[in-house]
Amino acid sequence: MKTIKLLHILFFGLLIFQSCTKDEEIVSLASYENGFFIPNEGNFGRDEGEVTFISNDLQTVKQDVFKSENNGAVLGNVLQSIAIYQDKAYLVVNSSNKIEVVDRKTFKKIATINSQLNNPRYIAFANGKGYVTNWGAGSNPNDDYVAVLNLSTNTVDSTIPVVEGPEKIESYNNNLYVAHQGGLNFNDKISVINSSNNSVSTIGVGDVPKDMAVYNNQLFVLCSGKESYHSGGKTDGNLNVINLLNNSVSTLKPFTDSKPSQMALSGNELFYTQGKKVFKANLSSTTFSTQEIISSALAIPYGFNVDANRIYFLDAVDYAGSFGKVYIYTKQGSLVTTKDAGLYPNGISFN
Amino acid sequence: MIRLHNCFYCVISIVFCANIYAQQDTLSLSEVSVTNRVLKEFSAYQNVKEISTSNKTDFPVGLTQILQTESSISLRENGRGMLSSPSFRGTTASQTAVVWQGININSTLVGQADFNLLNASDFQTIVVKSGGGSSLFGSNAIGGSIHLNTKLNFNQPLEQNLTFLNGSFDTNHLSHQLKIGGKRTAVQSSITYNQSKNDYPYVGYDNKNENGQFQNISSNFSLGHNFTNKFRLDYYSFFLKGEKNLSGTLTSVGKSKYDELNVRQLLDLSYHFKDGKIWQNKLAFLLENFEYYEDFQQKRTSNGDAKTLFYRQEFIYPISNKLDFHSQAEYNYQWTQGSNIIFADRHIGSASASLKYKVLKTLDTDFALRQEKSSIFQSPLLYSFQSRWHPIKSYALRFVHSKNYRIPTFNDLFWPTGGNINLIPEQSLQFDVSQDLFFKNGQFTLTYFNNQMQDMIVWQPNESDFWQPLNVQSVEINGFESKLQFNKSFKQLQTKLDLQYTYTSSKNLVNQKQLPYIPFHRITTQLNLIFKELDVNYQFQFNGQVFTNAKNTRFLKEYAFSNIFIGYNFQKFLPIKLKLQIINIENEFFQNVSDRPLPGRYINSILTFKF
Repeated sequence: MKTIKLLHILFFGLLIFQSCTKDEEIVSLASYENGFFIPNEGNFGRDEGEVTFISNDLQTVKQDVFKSENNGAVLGNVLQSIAIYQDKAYLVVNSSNKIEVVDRKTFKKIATINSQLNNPRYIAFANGKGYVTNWGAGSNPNDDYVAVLNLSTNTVDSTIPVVEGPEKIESYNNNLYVAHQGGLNFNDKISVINSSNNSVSTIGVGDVPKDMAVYNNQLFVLCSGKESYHSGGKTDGNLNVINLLNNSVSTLKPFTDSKPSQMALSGNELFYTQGKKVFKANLSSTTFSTQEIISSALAIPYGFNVDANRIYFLDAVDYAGSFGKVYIYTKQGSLVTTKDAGLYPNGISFN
Repeated sequence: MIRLHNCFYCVISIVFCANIYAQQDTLSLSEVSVTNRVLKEFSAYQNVKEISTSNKTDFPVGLTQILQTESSISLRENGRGMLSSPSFRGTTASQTAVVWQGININSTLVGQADFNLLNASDFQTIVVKSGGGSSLFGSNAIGGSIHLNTKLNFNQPLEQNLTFLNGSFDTNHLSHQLKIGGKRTAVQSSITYNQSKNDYPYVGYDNKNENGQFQNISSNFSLGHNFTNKFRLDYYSFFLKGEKNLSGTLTSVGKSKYDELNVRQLLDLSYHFKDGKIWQNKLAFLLENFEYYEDFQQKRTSNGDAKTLFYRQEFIYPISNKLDFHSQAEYNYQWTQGSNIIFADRHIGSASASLKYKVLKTLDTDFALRQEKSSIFQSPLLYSFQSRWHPIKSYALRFVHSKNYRIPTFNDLFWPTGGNINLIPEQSLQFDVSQDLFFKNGQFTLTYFNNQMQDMIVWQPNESDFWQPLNVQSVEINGFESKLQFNKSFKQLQTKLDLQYTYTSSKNLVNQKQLPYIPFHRITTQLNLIFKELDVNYQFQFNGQVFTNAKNTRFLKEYAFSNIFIGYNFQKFLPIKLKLQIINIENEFFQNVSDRPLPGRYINSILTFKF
């Protein structure tokens, strides 16, 4: 009896010892539904891209989701964005020049797209296809394009050349709208791609269009303006609106004080950030007016999004290796809580 | 545009009237050039290691592997054959000076030297000196310095060496060295060619290193001539052209390429007086040129050129058999042109003086002062005090205290977005204490070093969201180096053992964390056995864990591996040596830069001819 007990203790002890010597614990979640993903870029030049998951009730926070669900696999060099479409999640890994396609509920890998992508940034979907913005070589203004992704074969079917620096991409009414932030340079265009025939046209907007949102046949474009080190010197940002019925552009609001960075739409409210502050505007009112709702304590504002109930503001914290945080507020601007994220969290992707 | 400041430069020439009658110096004009002599004097006080000839032929490609095996320096590479950066006594890459024929050859643009673009086969003496040396060698000599010199031998019959290396990953090396000297003229030259496909597999992964191929060709030519028994003129020249495709990370294949060209020309004129005084003039021209292809399949590049014009006048004045005086005045003009920095230049003038005094038969001291004036920044007054007490044959105690510095690089000062013209040099105040124990078959040295660094330049983002270098960092470095050397010869067997353990704590005083890429512990071991024509060399190294960011939240695991070399000397039949090398016998996975692993086990074979 005694010997068996001893053996049991020994065996159990060995088991504990075994699990303790592993570098990290790999714990699977039952499902990644009813929550949101945070793409963490990681440092440029290092394979530090990873995904954080937070459940809608904010009770579950999970770091390093890709590695946990894929046997410790390394995701890659700069995870720029995540987009959800039908039952899959598309992870755009910028400096590894690939997109990892995973199941959006289990986060297990389905396929890798790694040809015909050159500095891929963001992805949007229209007409059953995926459209991926690519910078090409950062210093070459003539090799930028949008790759058209076949979602059944997970390969790039064709490429559409566009002007320099295509960044965020928005899908509406079978058209794709690409904001040309400018890549390593600066630009001031929106490309319009017709997903039936992949034809492109451009619309001129303010300097450095960073974000877009569509409401009621209007495309709102947040332009942050040029920096002092850009050719021609610093210019002010502004909020443009494009009437999608006739493609006419007008300026809703100039930003003469500090540069705006990010924008998101929820219902009929438009939210945008300027430095550490968040502003909102009600788009159903007859006149356009904005109101400051949050003056945050973020150190380095790095990402922003809103959903039906909350505002999410992401902080990179520092450039010295600290992990980022997400500050979660009510739609009225009161802080609910903060949660830990990974290195350089730059957005939210709702699942 | 770049503003050109008013130039503050001065050339001070100190010439003493030769009225003082000093004891005749026994220095032979022919054998030892003044540069090498000065280095010999430094080695009495600081830890100095000369790389053996056999080790140079064992690792003829680049300098990284030699330094990792023989010295306490910790080196990191962005992949095999890529940029190789040193960390010497807890300092960063630009705080190690590389000195060629007495002239600092660190890059003017980035401040550091790339140890994979310096081939051991081109330099006859390679000496690693620990600790500061700015008072004599100028900027960057904070953690230590590496001296690359040529030896010109007079009365030397023609001697040539030919080395072939063929190794894994399609690696090839070919080099030729020649030396010859008559009564009055001596010539030395070398030419080296390296090439590698470098497609090594990543241990434990399915993929391999892609886009990491490199090749380089380098050559050096030196000529010395004695016009009379007093007047000697030397010419030294060096050339290197290298191309390398920049390999990526574990998950991303690299797409970029980097080409580099280095040209160095030096004219050295010395006059030797009857009473041992020496007056020496050095005039040098240095050129570095780079071309960076973001995508090697496209023609677009960013490029730059940095040139240096350098003049130094030295005076060595032995005053008595106890007292030596040495003075030095330098003028340096550097300018750069390129696609990033369109044009920028600066002038630096300096004067230094040192006094070597033998206080007692067993106590030597050396005191030096250096002051610089520059067109761009204010330089601190630099000094060094060195002493060595050798009371009995088997024991010596050495103490060194110095103030050293590193000037901001051209990229720090003039980079188009963010360059900061208001930067001042980084400063280092250090001291070290060493004890040497000499015994019949070897030597043991234990050194404690301490270095307080201030105004270190760090690139940081500012409110306008672009990055800018600022003098904001302070670091405290503490550590010790311990070295044991043991040799014993039996009837036909010679044995040699080298053991080295270094502990380094390099703390950022703001957040109290260890600086990135500096290991706390480092061990190197070499065991050499020579039995008749057989030569076996076993090497082991251990590199401790390093952090990869300022907050120490990420790290790279410690690693250890060993090499074995087996050589056979066919001298009885032909002047040929054949050597087989197995590197990383354990096939250990390791990386010393995040996500850029180095190769697992691989082999080289080396054939050397001497004739």
